[in-house]
Amino acid sequence: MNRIKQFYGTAVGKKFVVALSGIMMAGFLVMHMIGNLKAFAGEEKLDHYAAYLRDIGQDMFGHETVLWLARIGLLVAVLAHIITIVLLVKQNHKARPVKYHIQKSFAATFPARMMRVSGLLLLIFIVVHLAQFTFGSWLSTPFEEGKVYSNISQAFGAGWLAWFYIFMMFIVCLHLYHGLWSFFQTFGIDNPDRNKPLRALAIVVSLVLFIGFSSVPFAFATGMIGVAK
Amino acid sequence: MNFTLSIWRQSPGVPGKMVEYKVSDISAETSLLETLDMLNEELTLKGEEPVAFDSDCREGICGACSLVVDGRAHGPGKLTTSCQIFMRSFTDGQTIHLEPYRSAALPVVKDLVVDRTAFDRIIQSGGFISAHSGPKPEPNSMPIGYDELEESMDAAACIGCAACVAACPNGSAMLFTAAKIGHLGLLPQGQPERDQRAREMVAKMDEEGFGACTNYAECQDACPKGVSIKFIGRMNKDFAKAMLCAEDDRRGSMDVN
Repeated sequence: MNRIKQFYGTAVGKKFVVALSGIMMAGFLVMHMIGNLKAFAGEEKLDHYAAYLRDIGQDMFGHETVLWLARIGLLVAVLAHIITIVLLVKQNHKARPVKYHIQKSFAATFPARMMRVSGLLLLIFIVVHLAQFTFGSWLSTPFEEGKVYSNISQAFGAGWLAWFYIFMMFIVCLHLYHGLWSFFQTFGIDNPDRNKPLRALAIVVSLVLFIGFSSVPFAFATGMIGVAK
Repeated sequence: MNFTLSIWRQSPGVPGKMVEYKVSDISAETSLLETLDMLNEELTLKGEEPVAFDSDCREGICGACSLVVDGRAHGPGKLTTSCQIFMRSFTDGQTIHLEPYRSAALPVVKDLVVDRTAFDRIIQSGGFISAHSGPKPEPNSMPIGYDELEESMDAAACIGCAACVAACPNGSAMLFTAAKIGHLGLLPQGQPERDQRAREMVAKMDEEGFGACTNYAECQDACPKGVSIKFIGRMNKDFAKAMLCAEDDRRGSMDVN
């Protein structure tokens, strides 16, 4: 236990925590996107899938148990990610108290330099997103628990909200590109032999998630799918 | 060639500021440090305080020179040190900004000189091997693979100039520390202290007030010896193994009651 405390006490240890919690969230995003795509299969399929999420493992553990375990795991990952980043940012600010008169960047990619901004936007987005589609208490769009398809259809049919979601998915894509590659770098998996394929993997995963996630609000907003008004 | 040099001037205990100086009739083959030498001669003749800056070998191998030129550690170009920057790299009439390294762990001593003893303390905490002081061992008794040897030497190329810290927006010394851990950890002579080295040096790095890595790779770009950030990944692995896998209490008992 002492060793783990010492480990977390160092910047390198904290980087591992950020990388590990980040990859957990990225894994969740992939599942989330696959689930979302059920919207294209129609109302019945999507609502059935939503109900199934609550039923996973219920024969063994009881109703919603697995869902709650997953939720708690994800919440722990989100909190660990944010708290650790705050600690690291504090350390970094202390390490560079005076800025250069001429500030220039020579190697850092745009997504890398945007990590703090994109991360903060994502935190705001997560709160809004949960308030809207999980608690159903925001934006006063009609919300009925369990009626996933009609809820999102009514929300995204309003237009601007769909574009807000699509913009946010671009932010996810930006954050994930640097995050995913950083995971490989932090864990020492990357090396010059693998750098190109791993960078490419980070780009592909980010783009697939962006397209996959955005396609749903886009389809609802443009009326390609949705409940009849 | 004529230039305006905008230089950070700071005396101990006084807040510093950028001060502009004009230098004229400089040949393109003059090095940046020689230009500073000429400026200092002028300043001395005028009875002003000369600009303090670090240099030693002026051949790009010792790691003493430490300037941030127009926002870039060591100045324009890659794989080079401040002393190897020549005035032909600049355009005639341009203003050249010279600043010291900015890092809480490497405080400014005077003008462009920073105190880099934090690096020495990181080395003292574990950047060494224990070797016997008796007769020289037979060199071929310890075979080392060619690739491992070369990789180790790539890390050992680090001259400890601290450009990595200067270039890192987080003031992190991970490239330096990783180069030292990597260089020794790749060789058989470095194995006995490998875990301890990773633990102590990483802890020391934080203690000295350096920042954390965010994988910007600015350090690798600024490094005059081209040390790769792959060594940071390697250090992370070594450190995690040393902290989480290595046995702590080797001689403890396993009581059953």
